[in-house]
Amino acid sequence: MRFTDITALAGIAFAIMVLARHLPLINRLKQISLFGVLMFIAALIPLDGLSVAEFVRGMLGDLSFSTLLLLAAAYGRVLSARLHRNEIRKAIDDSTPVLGAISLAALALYPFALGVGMYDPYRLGYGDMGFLGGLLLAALLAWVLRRPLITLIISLAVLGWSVGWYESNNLWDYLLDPWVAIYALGALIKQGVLFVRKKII
Amino acid sequence: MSWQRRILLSLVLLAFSCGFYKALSRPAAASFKMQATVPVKVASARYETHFASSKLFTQVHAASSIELKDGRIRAFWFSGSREGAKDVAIHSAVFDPATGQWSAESIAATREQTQSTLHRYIAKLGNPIVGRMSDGRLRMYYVAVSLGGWAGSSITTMTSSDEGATWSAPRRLITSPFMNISTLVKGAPILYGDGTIGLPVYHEFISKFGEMLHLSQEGVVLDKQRLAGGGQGTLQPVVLIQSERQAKVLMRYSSATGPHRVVAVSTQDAGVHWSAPEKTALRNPDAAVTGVTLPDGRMLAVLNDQELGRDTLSLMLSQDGGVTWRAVQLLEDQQSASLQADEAHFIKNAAQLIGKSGAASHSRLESSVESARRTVCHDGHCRYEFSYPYLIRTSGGDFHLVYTWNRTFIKHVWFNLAWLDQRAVEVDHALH
Repeated sequence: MRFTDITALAGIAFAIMVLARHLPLINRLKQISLFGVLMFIAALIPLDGLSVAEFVRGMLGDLSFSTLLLLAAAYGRVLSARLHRNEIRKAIDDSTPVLGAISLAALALYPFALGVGMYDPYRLGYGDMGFLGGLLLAALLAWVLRRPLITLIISLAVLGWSVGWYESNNLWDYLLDPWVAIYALGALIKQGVLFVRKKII
Repeated sequence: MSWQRRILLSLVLLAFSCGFYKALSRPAAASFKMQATVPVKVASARYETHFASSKLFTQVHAASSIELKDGRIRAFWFSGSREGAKDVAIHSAVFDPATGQWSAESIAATREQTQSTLHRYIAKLGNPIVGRMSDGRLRMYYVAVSLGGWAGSSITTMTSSDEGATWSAPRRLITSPFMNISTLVKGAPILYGDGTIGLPVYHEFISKFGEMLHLSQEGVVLDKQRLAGGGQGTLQPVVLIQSERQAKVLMRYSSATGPHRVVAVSTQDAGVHWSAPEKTALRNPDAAVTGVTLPDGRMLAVLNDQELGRDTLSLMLSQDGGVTWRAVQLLEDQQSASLQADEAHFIKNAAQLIGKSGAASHSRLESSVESARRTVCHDGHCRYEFSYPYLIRTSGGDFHLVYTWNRTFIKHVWFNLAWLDQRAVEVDHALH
């Protein structure tokens, strides 16, 4: 097994671990951390030659650092939820700029990468200096504006790409994946609808 | 400044230092590597046909081939109960020009083996293509699908140090941001002067367009270029290298809008920039095309020279860099047979075609015909198909063409320069 298989499967097993928490009755478990660890291990155990993580990897691909860090933030909120409810609400409110940045990046990438026009922004991810410079500015701007999650996502994605964390050699795959893009767009639309409804009522 | 903010800023600086270092380490653009040719003086014209595949009652498709170091030809194709079935595997056989015989088939890759070594679910395999790297090893590319149809393909690659007898563990090329789906391969890879590889590929999901991948010798994707826009319906690019800086790419045209012609783009700077796509004089019924460049600059292409159907296959020659083309040989022609495409006619016709080609022994003729009938005929109607041609020029100057023969066999046509020149003269005389 290659290093990039281990990192990719670990990321997917982690996602399964976090998402499994939403299963009925699971959230009421007292030993939710232990349950998470068991889910993580179970996702990596091969059944009939293929583990759940390997099957999911075949269907979804490798998960970007955006997905992993948002999941990590969500899991952290869950673990601290029983102690500090106000912190959770604040953390959720703080996620709007992150979701906005992810949505913008997704809209700039996917339609064009899938064939709208001649220009392919995915090509920038193979080491375009201008693209890297733009990301550096974005990371620094987020740092100045005290949006640590955005800074962390960009920095870890660039670092992961530099060291070959995944099998992809394209920086976009470390920054984004379709699932976090769909989630971010959906969450922003939901927030917008709620906001409008609140104003009207 | 809090310690958390200091750590975060340090992380930014570390990450981007590594990132800029990696970006600066990318190889610079290199010129094309021309295929070396040591022409063997041949007095007599040679044109002979064989069947590369031998397994019956199976569907075969998408063949490619490569010249081995000892002068033999190794072909690859996919074979299984039907296209897209779980039992489809990548098969291979070797042709020995000294004996004029194809070896028995061997299996180069299976779905299960690909799945277990890629550590992800794989539903089906297809389109094996092989190129020789600058270090002498072979590198195979084939498509693997985890979800959906062929539009959900990604490319898997593996290497061989023993001329294709055994292969390394496969690895996946990541070429698309959307679940890494919809990059397929059909055309032969090319080499650049610095040892890196150019792989013509195409995208099928939502829209269809040809692309060019730039790979390191280790199989890492270094760059990707779009050869045509999304709405232009181009597929399966084939690169014809004309010089160290010049090349022409021919692409299958896959759109309902006519005229149905092969689409071409060209470069004058070794692929740094490509011209806008334009339709050529070559007709194309949304089917694969193949081609090679001769050392004297002439170009050869093989395709279905019609706007609809795949019941003919033609060898085309261009003497003006791909501007005009003329047919030098009708390799297959079943257009009139297609008008009476019932099973009885097909059986009679297939027996003649297989028998005439000398490709199946007398004892196997009946079962070969039955194998073809089962593949080609459905509900009493039979459809001839000669498709997915793949042409190579050997270091000695001979040409080997492999293509799908009615999804029943992989047919092999071997001809030499003397035959080609002779046919070109004959066609010229016929035209004047």
